[in-house]
Formats: sequence, C-alpha cells, structure tokens
Amino acid sequence: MSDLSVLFKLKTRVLKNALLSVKRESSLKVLVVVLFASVYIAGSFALFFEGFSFVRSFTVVGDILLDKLLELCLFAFFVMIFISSILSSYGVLYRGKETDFLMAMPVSELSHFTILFCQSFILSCWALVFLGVPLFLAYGLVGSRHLSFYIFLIIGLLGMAVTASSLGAAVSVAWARRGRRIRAGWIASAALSAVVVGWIMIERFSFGSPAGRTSLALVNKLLAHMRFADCHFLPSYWAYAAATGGSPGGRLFYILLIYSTCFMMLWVLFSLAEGGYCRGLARRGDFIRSRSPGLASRAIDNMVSYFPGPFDRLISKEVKLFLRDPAQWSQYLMFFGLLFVYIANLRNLPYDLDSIFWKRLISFLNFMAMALITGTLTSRFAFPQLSLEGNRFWLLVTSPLSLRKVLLTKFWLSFAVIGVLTQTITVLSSWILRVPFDMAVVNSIAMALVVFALVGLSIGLGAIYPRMGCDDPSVIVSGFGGSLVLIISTAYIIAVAALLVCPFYLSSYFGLLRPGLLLIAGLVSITALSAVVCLVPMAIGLRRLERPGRFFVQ
Amino acid sequence: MIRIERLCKEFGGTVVLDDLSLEVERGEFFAFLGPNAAGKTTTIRIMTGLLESTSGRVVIGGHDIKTESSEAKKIIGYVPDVPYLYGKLTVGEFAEFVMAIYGLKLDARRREVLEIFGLQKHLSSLTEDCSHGIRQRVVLATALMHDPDVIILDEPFVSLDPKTAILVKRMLGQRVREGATVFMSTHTLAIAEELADRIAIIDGGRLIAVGTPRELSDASGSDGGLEDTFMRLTEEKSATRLSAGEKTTK
Repeated sequence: MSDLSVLFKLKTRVLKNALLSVKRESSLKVLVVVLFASVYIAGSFALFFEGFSFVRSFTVVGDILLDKLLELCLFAFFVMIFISSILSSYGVLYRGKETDFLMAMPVSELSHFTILFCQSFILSCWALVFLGVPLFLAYGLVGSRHLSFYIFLIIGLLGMAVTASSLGAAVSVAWARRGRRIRAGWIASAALSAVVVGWIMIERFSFGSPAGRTSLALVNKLLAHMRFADCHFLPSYWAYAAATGGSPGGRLFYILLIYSTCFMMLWVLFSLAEGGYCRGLARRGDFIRSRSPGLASRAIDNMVSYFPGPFDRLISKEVKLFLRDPAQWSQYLMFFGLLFVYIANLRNLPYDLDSIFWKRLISFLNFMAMALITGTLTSRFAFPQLSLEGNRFWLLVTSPLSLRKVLLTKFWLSFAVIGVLTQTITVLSSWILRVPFDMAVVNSIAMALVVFALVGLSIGLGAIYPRMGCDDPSVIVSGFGGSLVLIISTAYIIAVAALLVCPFYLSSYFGLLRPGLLLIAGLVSITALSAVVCLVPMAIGLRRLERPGRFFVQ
Repeated sequence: MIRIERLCKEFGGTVVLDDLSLEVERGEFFAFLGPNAAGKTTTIRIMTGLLESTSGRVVIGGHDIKTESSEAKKIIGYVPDVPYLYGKLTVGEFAEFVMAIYGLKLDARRREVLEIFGLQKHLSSLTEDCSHGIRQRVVLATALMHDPDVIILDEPFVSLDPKTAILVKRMLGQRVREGATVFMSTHTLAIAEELADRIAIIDGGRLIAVGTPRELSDASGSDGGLEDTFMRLTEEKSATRLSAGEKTTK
C-alpha cells in the first residue's frame, strides 16, 4: 500500500470516528445543531428564492439581471475560495500540529503535501456547499432550469473550486519556500490595500445624482459595473458559461477549459511543493528575530495603567495576545471587509428622503442589519474568549485572582471594543442614510443595549460550553455552544426589533397614545429583556466556572 | 551509526548551534545533556529532518538526513518532546497506522510491544480520551514497534510513572544489546548516568564535553557523580561567558 493511500485511509478513519463520537453527545445538543442547520438552509433558500423571483419579475431585463447575478455569485465564490485557501493552506500546511509528526515519518514529501492540501481544500470550500446549495437551487427553480444546468454547474464548480484553491495554496507555498512567516504587519498592509481598492471600486459604482436613478439608468449602470465578472479569462465565467450555455458542444468546451486550467494549476502547485514544501517547513523560524517590546506594547501598558489592578494586567494580556496572533486576524479581516462593503454601499441606496414611511423603514432595516452584525461579532469573537485560554487556564484557576474578575474583564473588554465599533457604525450609517436625529438617538441607545445583552450572552455561554483543548476560534464557534449563541441572538434581535417597531405601528395604524410614550415603553422593555439575556447566562457561566476541576485539560 | 558534522543553526541571526560534531556508534546508548536553551531539541529536530541546518550535515545509518531523508527516517524511531497523536483514532488504530506508514503489519510480535507497555486494555480507546501518561506510552511503543536501528528520544521520561519509566529503561537497554543505537536528550542526570555508555554536554549551542561518565568526571576534576560533573562543566562555561561579557563591557 502506498503511503498516500495509508494517509487517505487514516483521514477516512478519523472522519468516521469523529462522526461516531456524535453518539456520545447529548440528544438535545445534536437536535439543536441539526435543527439550526436545517432552519439555516431552509431560510437561506427562501431568501434567495424570494430575491431571485423579485429580480426576475422585472419585465424585459429580469432574465438578464438574473443571469448577471449568477455570474456575480460565481465570481464572488471564486475570490472567496482563493482568499480562504491562502489562509487555510498556510495554517494547515505550515502551522498545523500534524506537520511535524508526518515529517518525522518516512512519508514522501508529495504524499505529505497532498493529504494536507486536500484537508485545506475542504476547509476553504465548505462555505461553498452551505451557501451554494440553497443559492443555486433557488436560482435553478426561479430560472426554470433543466437538470443539465445542475449537472454542468456541479462539474464546473468543482473544477473552479480546485483551481481557486490550488492558486491560493500556491501563494502560500511560494511564500513559505522563502522560509519567512506571514507577519501581522504584512496582513495589515494587505488589508489596507484591499480597503483602498474596495473604496475606489465602490466610488466608481456610485449611482450619482437622483436624476440618474431612473429604472433604466439604474439597470444600465448596474450592468455596466457588473462587467468585471464577465471577464472571459476567469474560471468563474467558464463555470457560468458551462452551466447556462446553449449548445452541448459549447458547454463541453467550457468544462474542458476549466479542467485544463485546473490541472495546470495543480501541476504548478505540486511543482512548487516538490522539493520545496518540506524545505519550507524545515526553515520555519529561520527568520524569527527576538525583538524588545515595541511602541504598541508600551502604549497598551500606558493605556491600561488607568484601570485598577488586576484588571490592568488582564486587559493588557488580552490585547497583546490578540495583536501578536495573526491567526485570529483572518476572521476579523473577512468580517470587517463585509462590513466595509455594507457601509460603503449605503451611500448608493436610492430612496425617497421626504417620506416618513421610507425614513422609518430604512432606519429599522439599518438597525436590524447592525444588530445582526453585532450578533455575528459577539458569537465569533466574544464566545470563544474563554475557550481560547485553553491549556493556559490553570494559571488563572490556581491564582488568587477570583474567576468572577476574569469573566468580568472579558465581558467589559468585549463590551468596550464591540460597543465602540457598533456605535461608530450605527452613527455612521445613520448619517449616511440621513436618518432623523431622534430616530438615530433611539437606534444608538437600543444598539448599546443589544451589545450589552449579546456580549453577556456570548461570554456566559462561552463559560457554560467551553472547548478548552481547541485553539481555533472558528472551530470553537462551530460547536453546540456557538450554535446556541447564534439561535438565542437571532431570537433576541427579532424581539428587540419588534419592540422598537411596535410603538410606531400602533400609533400609525390605531392612533394610540403618542409614539414618544410608546417608544419609551419599548425602550424600557428592551432594557429588561437585555438584562435577562445578559445576566442569566453570565450568572450560570460564573457558577460553572467556579465548579472545581471543570477546566482541567489533560 | 549517527554522524553529526560541523552542525550550525541560526534563527534570525541568533546562533543556536555552533559547529557541533558528534559520532555515535552502533549499539551505543548516548545521552545528550545540557541546560535549558542549550540546543538539545534543535539538534534532535535537525537529526530527524524537522529542521534544516544552516550548515553542516547529519548522517544516520549512512544516509544524509537532508538528501536521503526517506531512507534515514525508515531506520529512525523518534519520540518528540511534545508528541502528536490523532485524537480521533483509537490506540489500536494509531499503532496500525504507524506500522502501515513503515510498510509493516500490526502482527502478533508488534502487538506484544503494546502489551509490554500495558496498552492492551486501551486499544479501543480514542487517544483523546487517554491520560497524558498513556499517550506518552503510546508514542514510546509506536516508536519502537518497527524495530528501528536508531532510537532518538527527546525527554522521554517526562510524565511517566515509575513503573513505566523502569520498563522503558529496560526496553531501551535491551534494544541497545540487540544492536540498536539510542540517542536520548534528558534533564534527568541519574538516568543518563545509569544508562548511557557515553554522554555529551552541550551549552549555548557548543559541545563542551563528550565521553564516558568516568572520562567526563576526570576531565572536570570532579570526584562526585554526574550531577557534580555537569554543574562544574556548565558553570565553567557560564563563568567563561560572564568574564568575556565583563571584558566586552569594559
């Protein structure tokens, strides 16, 4: 048996055992996760179906727009897999704990590389399955596509995904061959460049004056700006053409084009890896220089010195650990990239500024968007806080420091950071959307309460359902606790939005009382609800945290 | 069996290994000692192909670890300081996998090694569910199961209970008598003194002494055991460094 087949057998067995170990989990946990996944897929399918149906309902241009949307989605997936592959391949191929083990074994370099590349490919593409299945199914149903559409789309997508993933992995390998590590400064520079490029693109995308906002001008402008996804040299365009093309010969041509490019990319990747992968691994650390604490470190120490001890040291630790771990940055980069696109696009939202209906609707929709963003932010970043302490938690547990202080530090630090971020975005988006001042103030107050509640919920549930052995935040979040945070957060946000909308609805349709009084009542209810959502999990979390031996990790 | 020739390693301009040369014969038990950050683990990681040396070379059983790594690795059994196990594999499955990598089957003779290490009753447990000690035993057993010619161990006695430690000492002694070469880094001087035919002491990346325990004690002018010899040799090195530093400051 070749070493590659042994490694594949190993991975299959690991997967099988991981699936079997689900049996050991409580039925309630499994039920909640399955239910949440089903609701997510069904909900996103419904959302895409409604969206595509709406676009198709436009006479004459409906079908054209629908096709352009598919082209754009495929382009977005291509870029997403490429970026995701750079990050995941670097993590799996060069920073994974498994690499040293395999490297010390008599496994050939190519087998070692192949198995880890496959792992990285799955990691960078799983979102395509979760997001793509409801999206493409909805598209096919709305566009009344035949079975051949799905068949060609799946074949084309697979080739496109392998191409994008190989390209991303090739970037990582080429970089690592030089023996240098990806540094925080470089990531920051890349992120800044991406923001500048994004801003320029969005500037170009602006719809300009209201006179240019007629339906036809809008559609023309939209189509003109979607043209970048129409580039005939992109594998995403080939996948689109293969799925929607007319003649079978034409479709086959694009499939062959995708796969010839895919094999060429794989050849490039494996040529880079052969003789270079293990060398890159063996040269890890060659360029590490010991540096004395820099300006940033001293600035952090100065800033936290205003806090009473031991909070100052705890806050300093949290901030420094984050700043010195670029692995955590990738998540933030993706998240803030999406946020940037949202904010930048608000300027292009054409609506009637004089109508109170539109003003309120846009204001509430913006609040909902901001609250959902906060929900994602807290579940992704606040929930894993405690688990990320991992095997180092013994230090805090055995110290004279009370665990209440540890939990509260994590709570207040997350509250401060996320609070400042969300308030900035809320004020900025209210200003861009020209939301009336009183409504902007209400939104800001409500958002502060939402942050308070969601941070408490995430930190509290993070203490109730920790995953101490795991140091990857995305894996920590994907467990039962993370899913529960998402479910409760979504339900809470819907409840808060209802409490905010109700006063206006009641006053407009039933003429009850003055909206101001109803609004105060709404805000009081939101405060009470937020207190429950924050304090109950925090209290339970603290009790669990103080249970002896709970965080012992072998 | 093991030849280390003028090995140098730098990390970002910091010299971690400086012109290290060693030779270990077949059937020899060789202990590699040194204070923290002396360069022991770096040497072992270069010997097993996990790190690339800045200059110099390592030859294991006639195979250069850099150019003939696969051949060299086939004859090595390696126990790292921080071992890695697949958490979602059972002990039995992990042993089977390691044997398959070496192109071998987990036959009765090899199962016997697992039995000797007391792993029989843990065969169907996931390694993630095993205690630290049991996991260490799994790593030791699987490193020995393919009858390696060269056994390289980095701090193997950490977290072993006394019974298993005695067992490991006996197993290694037996392997050496059968012709295998053992290269072991340790901080436990008593074990090195008890088992090793020859001992090397490294400090600040440089070899400061090598020889039998007797030779080392004579060279250092110590009349006590290895502990006294080790303290004298490493303190001498620190004193030399200190006086050199004072001169530079002046």
